[in-house]
Amino acid sequence: MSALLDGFGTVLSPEYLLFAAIGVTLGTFVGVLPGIGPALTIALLLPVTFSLNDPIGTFIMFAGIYYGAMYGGSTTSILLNTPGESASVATAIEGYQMARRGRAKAALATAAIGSFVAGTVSTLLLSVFAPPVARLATTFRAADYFALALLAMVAVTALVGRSLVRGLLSMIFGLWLGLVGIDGLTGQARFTFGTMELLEGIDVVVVIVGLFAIGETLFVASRLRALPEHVTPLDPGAHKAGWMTRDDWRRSWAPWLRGTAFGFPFGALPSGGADVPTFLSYTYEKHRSKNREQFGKGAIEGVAGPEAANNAAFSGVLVPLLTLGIPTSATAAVMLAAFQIFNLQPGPQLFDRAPELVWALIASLYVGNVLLLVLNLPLIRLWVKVLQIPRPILYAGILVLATLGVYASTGSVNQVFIAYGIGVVGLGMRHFDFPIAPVILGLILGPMMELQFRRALVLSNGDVSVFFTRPLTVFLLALIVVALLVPYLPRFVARLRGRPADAERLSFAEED
Amino acid sequence: MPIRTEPGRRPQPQTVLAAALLLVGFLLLWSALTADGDFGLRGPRLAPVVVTSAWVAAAAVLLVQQLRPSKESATPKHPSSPDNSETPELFGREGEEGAGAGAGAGGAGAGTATTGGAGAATATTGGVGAGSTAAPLGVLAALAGFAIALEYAGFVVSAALFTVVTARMLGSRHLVRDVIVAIVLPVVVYLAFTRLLDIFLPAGVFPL
Repeated sequence: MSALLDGFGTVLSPEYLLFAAIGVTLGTFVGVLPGIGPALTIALLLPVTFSLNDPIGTFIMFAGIYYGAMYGGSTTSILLNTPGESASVATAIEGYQMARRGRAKAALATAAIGSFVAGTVSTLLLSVFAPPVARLATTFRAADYFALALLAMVAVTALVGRSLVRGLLSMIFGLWLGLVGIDGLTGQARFTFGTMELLEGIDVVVVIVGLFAIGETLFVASRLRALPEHVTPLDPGAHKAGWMTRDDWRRSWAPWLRGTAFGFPFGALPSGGADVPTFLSYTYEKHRSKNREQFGKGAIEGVAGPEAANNAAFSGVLVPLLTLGIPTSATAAVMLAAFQIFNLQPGPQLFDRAPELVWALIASLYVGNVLLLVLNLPLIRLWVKVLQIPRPILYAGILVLATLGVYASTGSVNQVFIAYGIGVVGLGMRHFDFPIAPVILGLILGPMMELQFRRALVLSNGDVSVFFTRPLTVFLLALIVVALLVPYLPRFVARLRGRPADAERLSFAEED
Repeated sequence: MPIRTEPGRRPQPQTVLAAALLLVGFLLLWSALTADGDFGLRGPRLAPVVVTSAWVAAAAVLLVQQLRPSKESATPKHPSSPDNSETPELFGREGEEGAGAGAGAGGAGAGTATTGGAGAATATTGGVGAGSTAAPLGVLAALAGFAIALEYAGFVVSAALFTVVTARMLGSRHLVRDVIVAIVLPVVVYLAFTRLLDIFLPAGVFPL
């Protein structure tokens, strides 16, 4: 507890407050832009951090960017019906319908306040849960880390996307990208095909920018005219709609809390970040609501619950990221890359080695939440203006920034071309319906997994039984089987109940 | 959302893709197997073989799924999406993706309306008609030019040219506005990166 107070002491200095404010504003600005989610926002801004010799300030800014990008996504969903990432899809459904009925402000307000409530509650849970998990994690050995990384990868891949085999192929592609370059333990070149350029491997930032920024923009370029351009007005002329009415508050508060309850644990589990809980929250609110007939036509519960779940999931995601070094979503993977830039390895040691950083980061989440609420509702008109940036200029600008980001972080035109090549792959993946998040996770977790696997074997003198003798390892490996079976649960249950197996495989859309 | 697969006119792009993935997988597996080095459990050659074998296996499964109708392609639907007849625009994106995934050429729903002659699609680009492949290809060419020019002409000049050209290709009709943005934005970015953040960017012919 005193550690947390120290964290607040750090964050509440004017300098770090400024970092938090910049982060929240930047995050909202970029998040509002259609088609750009938090992972890409952070990836585009990674080069900026190279010169900021201050890890604490950087991570405070990142936390702000993340919250801001999430919130900005909800604005786009509500006013433009274009979810920037899949966690905003539910918001787009109900929020846009509310906006069309002249209730845009109420939808925006319930999203903002819901995010605030969820963010605050789940940050509290993070402060409570992270230290014990970190303590537990100090007992982990190499074999456990191997099993854990495998579990995280399989679970995310099994749940994300609509087809297991497509998710697996995406993940395998990421794993393969991670193998390219010199093997860290023996110095052997792998998959370099005799070129010098590939010896240093393929940088995570290059892949992220390539897949998200370049691939996405190329994809949009192929269908730009199909995108909705029309921004729903905030105040439709006829009747002056205010922010939330008393009835809106009454209908929102419970979904906020329930959304938080869905979001936090699912974020902490390796299940693909915020998608699962937002859809669960949406479905739950729909089934339980007395106003079920309003769903699909603008039910405020359908905005309040998913938006809260969305935000709560982020704090949940930070639990495994900070304590185990395991990213469970694409954004977490980008944050992990950011940690590595500062030579910090998230994991149990982080709490011992850099307690100041960890607790300042956690404290900054509280602060970021408050700032988001304070800054955003009054500034909503500004964000509406951002939504009106002409698309051709916007996407040209994103490509310039993406190129700049790769060039600035690698100093090499060859890396820029590699990013373009990966962008073309990303375009193909989007086009042929392959999920993108598993690529990033494979790329980040693969090398970690291989390293721990080989380390475990070196420590055991090549005895493979090291993976089957420790109860913790066996438990984690067993969970992998569970993760593979969960998606088929609805079909299985339907069959048990004697219904025809029309239930679909449980799956969720991709990315954050 | 209507299911857009008709088993009768099974489309080829997805199948071709699956076959291509399988072929690439075999090539990579071959390259992993023929590399020299230690194939032992602790050696550097095990992971490449495992990963590329998994690639081959997954691609083979995908190919089988594609050749067998109605299983894989019938499912691209959001599990908890509500009755989305109310929200056609939202699912337009997915409709189009789904068109690529499920029906490929001749994709139904929102896909066809926007991509035009989807039926004329080539095998490599799936359900995209001629009109819509041009834009990404043009943008790619512009990107390549940008990257090559970066170190010679400098960031500001190449970024400005790239922005104008790309904005035009993406359908902008306001040349004056584009040119103003294309000059102001790179200059601001250049100054911010080099002066405030100390990040090196090639100055090229830009006199600063």
